[in-house]
Amino acid sequence: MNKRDKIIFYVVVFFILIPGAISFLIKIGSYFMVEVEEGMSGFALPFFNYLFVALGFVALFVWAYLEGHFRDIERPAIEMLEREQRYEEEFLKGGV
Amino acid sequence: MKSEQDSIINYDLVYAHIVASIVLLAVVFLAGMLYSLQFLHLYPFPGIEFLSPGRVRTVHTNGAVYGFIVNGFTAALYWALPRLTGQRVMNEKYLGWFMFIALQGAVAATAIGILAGDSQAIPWGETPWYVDPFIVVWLLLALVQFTTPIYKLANKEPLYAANWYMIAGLVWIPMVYIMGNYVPVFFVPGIAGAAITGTWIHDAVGLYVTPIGWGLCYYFIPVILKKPVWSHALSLLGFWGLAFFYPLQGVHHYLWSPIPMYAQYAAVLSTIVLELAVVSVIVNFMMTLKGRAEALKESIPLRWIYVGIINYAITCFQCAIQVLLTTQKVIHYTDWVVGHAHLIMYGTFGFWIMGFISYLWPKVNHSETYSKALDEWAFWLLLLGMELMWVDLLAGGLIQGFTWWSLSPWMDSIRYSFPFWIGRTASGTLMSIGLCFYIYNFYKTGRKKTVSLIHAHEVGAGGGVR
Repeated sequence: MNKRDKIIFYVVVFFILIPGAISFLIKIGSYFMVEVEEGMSGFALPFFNYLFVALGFVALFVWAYLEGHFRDIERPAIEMLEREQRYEEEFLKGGV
Repeated sequence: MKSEQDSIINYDLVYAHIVASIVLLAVVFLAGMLYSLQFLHLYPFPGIEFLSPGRVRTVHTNGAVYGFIVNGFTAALYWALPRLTGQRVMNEKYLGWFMFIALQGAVAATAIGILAGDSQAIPWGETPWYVDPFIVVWLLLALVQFTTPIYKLANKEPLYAANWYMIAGLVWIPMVYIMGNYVPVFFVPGIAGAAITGTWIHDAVGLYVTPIGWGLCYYFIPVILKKPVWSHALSLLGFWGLAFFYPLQGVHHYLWSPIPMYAQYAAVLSTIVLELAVVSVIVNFMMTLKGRAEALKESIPLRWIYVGIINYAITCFQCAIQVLLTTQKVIHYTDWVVGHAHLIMYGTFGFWIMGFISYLWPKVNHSETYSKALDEWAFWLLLLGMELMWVDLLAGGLIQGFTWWSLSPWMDSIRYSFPFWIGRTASGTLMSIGLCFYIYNFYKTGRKKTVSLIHAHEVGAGGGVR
């Protein structure tokens, strides 16, 4: 990462991701508590289903990290364009 | 001999889903226009139960999602995913065509069921209960069909942001659909059920339409601009922010309801913070445009997409304000909400799909756009109509809200709303004219393909593989 990317990264982490995580945890805590209120116990079903799927995303994140998906973080954006350029050249050769 | 891309992209499937999307968009427009006439005492089918305005309105909203948006996204996925991954989807020949027919069948069954009075009492989940299982199966098939190429690529090289977004949309939606369409109806009645329907409305947008839409934008924008996205790191941060913090957002649809207040406060807080994550995505796309903004003059697909992004930014900013309890006191149940819904569903996602189709249609036809002028007319009429409708409904909604708040007689609010309802029909008419231009151009572009292919065949040229 160059200097610009690092600045953007930390700004986003501190001002967006961390507040996002805190507010999300407050929400999850509130929804967990709400299930003991009268008439709200049914909310537990989707609540725990959502948490279950979210755990899948946590696992995906850990897997992607361990597989090195975030190592050269800008590379996929370049590779995608290179692949597209190859296809586009083939497409134009195909006789438009 | 087939080229590499011809062997991984099934052009016929892209073609078929695009046609279905455009045809159903026309139906959605027609239903919306009919419903708006009811407010002007001009509804053309009074007393016919099968075509009663409430049912036609539900066809309008459900058709927009399952007909226009899902078909449009599916067409774009059949094009973009193989190009993004270098891999085929799981199976086009059997699964792809089965899914195409099943989707159109589900849309038709939904429309007929709704008109017959079989709607479920769930906002935006009115799909009759007997259609729901087929939609769930379809969504699971879509999950397998479209995640297969991503899975193959992920084992070879790091994934691009578009692929991550598509995974999120495809994984979340079957679960969101089951929760929203079954649980409140059959298992959890009452206020807890209402809270769940709130999560359905919002998560359907936030966990399917938004990630698939953003994912496709992450494909089409760099491809049209021929430059990489400004910051891939930022796009990944935006994605993981959405994947982790978006779920269970929709409780804010039931503010001032019997749901415990602390849960409502938590829903409001997390909604406002989530808008910050949205800003990171918008900044990324706007910065990608830096130095290439003149492309907006030439490329109408790009213009559709960027106007959609601006509308998205507006609706998200609006969302952060309208989830405040104070604002809700005024706007709840008013036309303000209708304006907001139109700007996000058509002004954003609809415009993106119009952009994707404008880009793809000449390509799948191996042709060029029939008329640039028609394209321009369609764009400006639809844009002008959309923004006018949005402003009109917001203003009308405020008038309604304050009239109710002041405890004026109910009929006063109807009388004050009337000019705004005329405005809605007028702006809808502008949009409908724009859509007619779009469809005519679309039709002629398709016809041009037929002619150019015949010509190519006659002169022995080897192009035009579909």
